[in-house]
Amino acid sequence: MAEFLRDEIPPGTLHLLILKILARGPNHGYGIAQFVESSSRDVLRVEEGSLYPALQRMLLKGWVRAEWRDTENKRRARFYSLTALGRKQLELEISRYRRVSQAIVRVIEASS
Amino acid sequence: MFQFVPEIARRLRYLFARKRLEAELREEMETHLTMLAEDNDPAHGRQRLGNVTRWSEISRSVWGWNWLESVIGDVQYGLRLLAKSPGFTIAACLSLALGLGATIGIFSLMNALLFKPLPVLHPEQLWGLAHGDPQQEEDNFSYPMFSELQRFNNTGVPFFAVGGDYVQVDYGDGSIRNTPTMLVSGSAFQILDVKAYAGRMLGPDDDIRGIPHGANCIVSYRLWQSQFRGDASAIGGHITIGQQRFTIVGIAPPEFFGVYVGAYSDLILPITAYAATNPAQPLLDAPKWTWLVLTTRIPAGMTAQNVAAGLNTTYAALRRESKFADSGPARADPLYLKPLAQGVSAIRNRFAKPLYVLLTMTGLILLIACANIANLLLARSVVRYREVAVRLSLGAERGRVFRQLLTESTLVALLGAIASVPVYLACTKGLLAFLQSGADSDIFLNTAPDWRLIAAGVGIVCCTVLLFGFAPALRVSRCDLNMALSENSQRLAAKTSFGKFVVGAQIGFSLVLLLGAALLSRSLYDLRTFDPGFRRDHLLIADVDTTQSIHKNADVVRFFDNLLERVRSLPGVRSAAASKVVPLGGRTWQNDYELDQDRDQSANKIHSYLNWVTPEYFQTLGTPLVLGRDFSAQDSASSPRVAIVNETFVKRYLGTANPIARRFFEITKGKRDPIQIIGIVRDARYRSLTDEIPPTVYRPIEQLPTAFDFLLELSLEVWTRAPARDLAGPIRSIPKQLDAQVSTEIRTFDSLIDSNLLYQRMLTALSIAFGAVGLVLSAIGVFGLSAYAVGRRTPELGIRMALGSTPGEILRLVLSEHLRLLGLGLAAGLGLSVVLTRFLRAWLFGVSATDPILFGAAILILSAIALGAALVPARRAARLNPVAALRHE
Repeated sequence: MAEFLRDEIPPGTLHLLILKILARGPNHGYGIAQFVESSSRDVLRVEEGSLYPALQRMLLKGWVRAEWRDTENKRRARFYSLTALGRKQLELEISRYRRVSQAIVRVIEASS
Repeated sequence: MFQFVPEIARRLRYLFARKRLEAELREEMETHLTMLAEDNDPAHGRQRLGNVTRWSEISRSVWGWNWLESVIGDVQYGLRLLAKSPGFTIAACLSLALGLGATIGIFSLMNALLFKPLPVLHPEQLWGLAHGDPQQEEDNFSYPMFSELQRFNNTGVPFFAVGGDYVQVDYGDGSIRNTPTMLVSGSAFQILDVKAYAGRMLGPDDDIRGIPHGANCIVSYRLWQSQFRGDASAIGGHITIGQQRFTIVGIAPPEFFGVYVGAYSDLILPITAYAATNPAQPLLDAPKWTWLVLTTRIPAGMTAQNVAAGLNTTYAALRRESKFADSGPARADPLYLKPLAQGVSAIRNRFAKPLYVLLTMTGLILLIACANIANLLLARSVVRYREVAVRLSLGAERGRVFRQLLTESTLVALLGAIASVPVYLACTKGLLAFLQSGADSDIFLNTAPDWRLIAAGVGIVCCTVLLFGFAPALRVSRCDLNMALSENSQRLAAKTSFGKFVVGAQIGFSLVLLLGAALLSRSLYDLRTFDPGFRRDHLLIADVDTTQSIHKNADVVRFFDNLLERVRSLPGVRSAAASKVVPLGGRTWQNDYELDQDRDQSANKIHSYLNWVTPEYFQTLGTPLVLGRDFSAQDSASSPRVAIVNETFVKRYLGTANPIARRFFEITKGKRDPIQIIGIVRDARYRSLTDEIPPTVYRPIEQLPTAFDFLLELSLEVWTRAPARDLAGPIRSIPKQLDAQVSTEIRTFDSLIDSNLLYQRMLTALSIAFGAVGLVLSAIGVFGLSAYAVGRRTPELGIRMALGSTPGEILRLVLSEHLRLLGLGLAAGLGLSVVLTRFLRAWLFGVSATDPILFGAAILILSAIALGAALVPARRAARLNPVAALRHE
């Protein structure tokens, strides 16, 4: 039951994570999920039920675009990549995240 | 900024490529799972396998089109259900179509008559000058008043005068036609801001006394098309009116029908040029002839009060100089302004009221129809209780179920609305034709749909959905799961209070309609049978117009003497006479007289209606002479002045003493002329069948003052042995034999009475039709409720019968429920009737708006029909076989 110990991604940061991962290069949904898990050393986990709606939302917003391509294993998959708008959004989300998390840290330290 | 624009575009693309994109999503999910399975152990992948559908559904919901899909689903489902019960669908749609079509049709006429603004720029800035009674028509200024007010107007806001008339126009191609004409002062089109379709509109230069720039005129677009076939060379062409030739200088724009709502002004003339068509008439100098509407445009930033105050200063100053001394007593009132955005209308006051009554009636029909549909839906919804309960227990949201049920009602309403379009068009056309048939001039109403009509239509349709769809949908979606899913299907339908309420309301509305029909029918019957003071049939009226031929009064007198002589000698003619005014013709001649010198000023002055008649007039019309003698050949222009008065005149002004040989006085040019009373006649109606009988003076036609050419147009009354119509041909030919230039119009007195009663007839016919429709719909409603109630109580009734109840007791049991309902409905209907029938008063004659006998009769009829409708299912219940009834469950 190891999975149960994994944490869900904090609300509001999923877009940030996806954008950041796509900034490294185009990737498909499974790849994004895997990368979140591996790079967070298995602490974070992305639910498919949140990942794909999030991707659809970002497609609508025009932050990412999608195209069907073959993976290294010669499997057809939908690859997402960042648009210029997406890049701008990433910067925005990162700075917002920093602001919020610093503030949270301050609150925690002040009260301890 | 505007980042949402590409987003909306993308969303729309998702809507239209939905199927393909959904497939892509699914494929993406499958790939995801496959990759997951490859990387991990197969069990891990399988564990999540079932979620593909759910993931893609959640992802899809991001596109934001789920609501649309569910609406489409609801619509498809609703259509399937409606198709499954075609009887219900057709009945519901047809009754809705009739109710909606009639209501919207009537509204479209009201819209054209009351609400649509004039087809000019910023019509809301237009105001009409008025003084005196606000209920009065706007045309109460004379030309001298207009020109004086205009000359001394210092408000900075210009105004113009406009009048309307029918004018005999010679179009130069052999056709002389009576043409509806608008007469305007020079600045009219500058103020109205109307530009010509071709050529130019009239300007100040065209309207100068003596018309130094010639007589110019404008034709309407409609006339240009019909008379000049749209030929551009019409501009510069000529027409002739009376003694004046006019040059056509322009064509009015197509949408501009004038400022008279209800008429289409085909010709527009400057007032001064119009005056030149008949120099004998002192049109521009007669202060008593108040025929003009004064109109102004108040620009933004100025208020009507300020302008009116400014004008009043001028007006008061002019009055002090007694410029308007001859303009009658009411002219001492201050001026005020009233909005003229909707134009001037002579027919507005006359038609608005019947239209409101009709709108109320159709509204009630629509309500009754809605009630029926609501009841049908309710009955169906009970059948669907279990279906809904199952869906709810499987997790459907209540709101979702409610929406689905409401969709169904909306579909019914929409189908009804579509079917109502031809009804609406036919209704508008039929009503226009009806209004036209009672009018003496062409009626033009622009009934083309505008936003007001569309908004009203959509509003009414939405209301109907709310009325008949909301309650059943709400009730079903609130259903109690435990009850619905339990086997006892009787209990779940126990609550029929809403159904009862609906049927009760139906009965109430029907009572109102029925009462309206009863009151109007009764009063029409009275109008057709009461004694108006003269005979109703075997009378022929011939309007003889000699204006085109004879110009000397002596000649005219001789002409009419000859004419009467010839008519009297016709076989089949009992007697014949001539008069200036035809009774019930809608026209009046009124005059002021003085009684005696020794009375004080106020009581001395009397006001009376007047008619100029020949000998034999009373005998011909059948008005009995009560006292004294009829006029004879001795009462000529040179003999002493004499008069015959009616009983009301005697009662009101002369008291009880014998009035024969009494004298009263006419003031002409400061001189008191004595008039001697030689006879008294029975009271007779004057202006119309329904107007009160006024004090009336009859005087010999030969003593008519000759100042104006009043004798040139007279009417002949002929009392015939055979039906009046049979003599129309011979009588029509006689004036022509005497003088080829004379024109004659023949009417029977019956037709005159009929046109007098046009609105009563129209309202009565429609109210009877509406009353019948309401009755039938209500009977259906009662029958439905009763049948439903009996069906529902079958097992209970079976038990009662098994326990020894007689059929009579069962019948009473079932009916008692309906009796209560009927009682409540009637009580509510009575209350509503007392309020609503008051508005019928204007058309009621000889019957009170709360006539107890008619109320009783209407209640009886309605009760009988409602009970009859309830009785059919109740009797079935009484004849139940208890064994079969108990097995029913």
